[in-house]
Amino acid sequence: MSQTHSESDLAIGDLLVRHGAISTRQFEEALELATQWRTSISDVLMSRGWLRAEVFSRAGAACHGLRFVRMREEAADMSLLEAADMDFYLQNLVVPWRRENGRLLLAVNAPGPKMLLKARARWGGAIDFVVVSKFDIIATVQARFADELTRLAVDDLAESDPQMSARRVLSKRQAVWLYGMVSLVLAGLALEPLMTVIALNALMTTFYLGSFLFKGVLVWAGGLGQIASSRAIDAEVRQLRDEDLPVFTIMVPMFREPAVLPILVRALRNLDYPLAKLDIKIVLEEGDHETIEAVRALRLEPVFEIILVPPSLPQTKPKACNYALRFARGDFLVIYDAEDKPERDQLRKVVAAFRRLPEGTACIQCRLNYFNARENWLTRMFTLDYSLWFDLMLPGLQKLGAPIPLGGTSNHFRISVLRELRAWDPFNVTEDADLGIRLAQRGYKIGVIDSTTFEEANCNPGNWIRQRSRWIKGYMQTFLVHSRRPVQLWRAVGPLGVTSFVFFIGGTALSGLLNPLCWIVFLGWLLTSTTQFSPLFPPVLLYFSLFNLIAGNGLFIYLMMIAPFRRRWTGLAPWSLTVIGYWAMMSVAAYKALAQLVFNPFYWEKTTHGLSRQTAAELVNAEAADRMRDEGAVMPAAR
Amino acid sequence: MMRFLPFASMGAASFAAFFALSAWLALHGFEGSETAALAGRAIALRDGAVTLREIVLAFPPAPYLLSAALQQVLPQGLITGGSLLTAFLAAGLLVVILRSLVAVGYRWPTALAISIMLLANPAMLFLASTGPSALLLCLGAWLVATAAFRLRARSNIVDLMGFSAALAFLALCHPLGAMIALGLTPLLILILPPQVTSESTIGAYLTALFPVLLVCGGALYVSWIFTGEPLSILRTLSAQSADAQFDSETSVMGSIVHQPLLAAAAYALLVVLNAPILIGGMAAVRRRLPRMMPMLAFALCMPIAALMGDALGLGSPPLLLVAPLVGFAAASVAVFPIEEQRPVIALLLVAAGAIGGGWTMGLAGNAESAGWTRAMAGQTIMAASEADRAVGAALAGRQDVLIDSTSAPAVIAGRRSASGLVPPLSPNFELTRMSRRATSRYLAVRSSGGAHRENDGVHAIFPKLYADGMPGYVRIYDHLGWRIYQRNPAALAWN
Repeated sequence: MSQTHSESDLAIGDLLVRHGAISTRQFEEALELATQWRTSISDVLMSRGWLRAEVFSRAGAACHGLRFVRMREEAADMSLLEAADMDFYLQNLVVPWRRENGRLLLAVNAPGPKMLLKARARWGGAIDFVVVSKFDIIATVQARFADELTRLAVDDLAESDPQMSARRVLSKRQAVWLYGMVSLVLAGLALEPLMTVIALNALMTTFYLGSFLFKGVLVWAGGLGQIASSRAIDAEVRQLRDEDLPVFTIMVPMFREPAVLPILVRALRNLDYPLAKLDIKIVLEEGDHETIEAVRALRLEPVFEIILVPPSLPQTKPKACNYALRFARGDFLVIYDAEDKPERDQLRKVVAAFRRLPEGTACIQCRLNYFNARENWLTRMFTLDYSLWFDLMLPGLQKLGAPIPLGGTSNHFRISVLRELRAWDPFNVTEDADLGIRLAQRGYKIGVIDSTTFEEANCNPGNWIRQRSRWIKGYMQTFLVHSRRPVQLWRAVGPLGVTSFVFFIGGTALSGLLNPLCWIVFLGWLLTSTTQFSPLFPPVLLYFSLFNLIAGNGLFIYLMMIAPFRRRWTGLAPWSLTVIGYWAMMSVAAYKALAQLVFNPFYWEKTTHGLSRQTAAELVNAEAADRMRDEGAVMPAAR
Repeated sequence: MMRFLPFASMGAASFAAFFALSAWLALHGFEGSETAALAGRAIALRDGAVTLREIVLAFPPAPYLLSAALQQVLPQGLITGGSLLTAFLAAGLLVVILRSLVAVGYRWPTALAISIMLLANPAMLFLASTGPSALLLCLGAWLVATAAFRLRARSNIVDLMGFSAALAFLALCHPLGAMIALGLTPLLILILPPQVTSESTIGAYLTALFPVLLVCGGALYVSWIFTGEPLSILRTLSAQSADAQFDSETSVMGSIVHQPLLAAAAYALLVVLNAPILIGGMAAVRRRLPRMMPMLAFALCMPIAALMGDALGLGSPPLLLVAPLVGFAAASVAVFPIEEQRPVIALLLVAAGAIGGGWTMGLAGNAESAGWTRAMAGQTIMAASEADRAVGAALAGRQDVLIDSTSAPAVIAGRRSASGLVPPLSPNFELTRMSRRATSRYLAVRSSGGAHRENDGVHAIFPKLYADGMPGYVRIYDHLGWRIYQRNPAALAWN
């Protein structure tokens, strides 16, 4: 994307006006916005949906006296495309098309002096241009390098650093260690059963004690200085000028969710960010015809690009993202889910935060919360859970300098670092959490800022358990991957980082598995007053267990209770008293996750979106806005 | 580091000054009743005469556990954990108050003068001399008030957590602290920011009170686990309150606590006398609700807490109200609008509180405070714990002694050892209680004439023991309301 409007841009504009492709008013507005945003007129025209990509390309060809080619009808000579140049093609939107009369014909989207210089540097002087639509270039590269792109999307990380990939659930050393530990426990149970159970009980008690103390400290730390930090970023946002804003890639991976996309499309159109500086990729699976048709039916502006991911295993979101990352042209990249509603100024805040935070900051995590918080008991609990996680715990981790497991969506990356790290692990079903720890291991920092993306909270228990089991399985994978090189982890993140890794990543999965055991013992004792368990609780252990039972559970309930305080959603606070039911569901999900880790580790449990009544209402709003747009009404928020 | 040096030196100086004061008082025979009791309980813990169950059931746990922990690391006989804790708390309180005042813009000399005058309130000084509970109450109240002002002004989550935790801490410091936490409940609407209560008042209240409710629920649960009765913890509380009320009834205010209207007026008078900064402060910040509303809540909560305590049978001596009042006053000075009013006004209001403290000693004082006043004046007195210490000394070296050392822990301090005692909750004591037959070699019982009568476990088993003795036992000690009986081997043989 060029930074200023050139003579050729003005000429193309004039031509388009003369031929009635755009109105004079549209041209003048585009000219004004292009100056303000420091981008090309064509980018503005296309981002506003006033011009289709092909029309622009035809006009460009006419202005430069070049031939316009539709590559679907006149295909490129695929033998001319080289895998080593794939990134060059995609970043510059140019591919070799054919060889005629000893000269190489290059298919370009935006011919001009800059392109000429780049092309000569790469292919020498014997070149000519033909003009094509940018979608044709993307489609050609995809068609030519489908296998290579897929291979890179699947294997790049695993081949470069096998220990950092979840492709192998357990490393050899881990398998030996696990075998040894299980043998030790079994031997203990055979020889000294009581002592062994007491020792296991003591370990469990210590884990719970450490876990709730750590989380208490984390929430306290997370609450400190939040207002000052938000104010500083807000001040920085006010300093930002449109022309200084970088190109931002927005990636929207979708699979079998045709209905909810209008919500995100509306939110993206409403973003307080120059649309011409957005590089939006809607990432779809090739076989998902229903969603592909739904996206096409939306007749989106050319700024929305559709990337079709060819079928391959594992069929996971990170693999699709890895695939699409090759096509990203921004300086920063963010992932949103299809039903996400980011706050309008989120991208600006992210840019401001990147400027304000220390040099090594590679990612900014925004907060996630729900627009259907009060729909039913489950959505209320889920909202409390997310408020605790994103509003308090993640800022706490940032404050303490501990690794941050990135969550779900709305994590904004410096795209160069993302590529350097070989992006997401396609075998990990919580690829974001894994990437957060990997960033910390490589010495990068993650910032957490006060900007929220609202999503649809899962309102169906079965759907929730499916989603949560995937998350817990992913945490198990992440724990196993990053505990393979414990010394390196210690050196990279320090003792506090390791503590946080153990309690946050390992602890989340482990507590879900252990809780039912504790509840069974407690309920058994409560209902029958049996003394059978007494030998397992020598006095000191009994008092610690009692302390954990009262203070630990009390603290966890309290943390859930205060979680919505920041948003003043105090109406949700009393619901935290019912959290035991939520924990029980988490335990069900944890056991399902464990079973899947053993038998089906890379299976992606699909969460169904669009079940909420609120989502239906959001969709109606989004579609109404879409209709208004189609009818030519100017959306007040659109820029 | 250099920034903290002046505060650290002030802390050290106040620590030394407090020790000098304690030494002066000890020289003239004064020993704080609570300090003596804590010393006894710490020795019992050291000698293994206290079960973990008793520790878990102890209320209020904060002074007990802290002083006992200190006692375990101190050389025996040199100084008690309770005294050291008290000195630490006095110094710490001075430093935190001083620091909070300097932080909001008071000049050093003014801040220092205000801090000293707050803590040198004669009633506060007396309470601090009796043991750490009053200082913990004062600290708890200061924490609650400081967090409340911040919460009302900033609505920050950390302030909410601080406020909730401070309330729970206050409840753990003393039964009066629990009453204040309870008394503040209806007044929370004045403390919680309107934007927090606007969506759900119940939710906001629950969030603020949950730690206190957890402490109460936890206490009931633990009580149920160990005694089979959830409400047995309340008996511990009322027993301690009865001990305290006994002395307070000898004071002017002690005689009117059973008349609610008069009592309410009297408690309100204590607020005016000891914390005039609350009244003056409210007038000074009347247009600034975030500062005024919490002050109003603190002024109102003290009479409410005291009346509730009286109504529930968990009342504390009226004089003890001065401790939390000083904490509230200290936090209120920090929000006094010195940007508009001259700091000297705050200084004068605090000085008036110190003078009010002197009057309070006359109005609400008790036998112990009268003794303290005489000791301060250089007269030699008999300590309130003298009777317990004396009987303890008489029991030194004797084994198999049935005694309710739980309600008179100073006995153990006098005896310097808990081994050989048969205290409540021990199997032998329980056996004696159930069979109502004495088998111990020695029986120690308190006078049946005082309020302790109801609490003395030995008296409860053998109501006529003090007055009439017991067949098979001979009286070997009778001094200051205590009697010791020794089993008569000849009589036993004769039986």
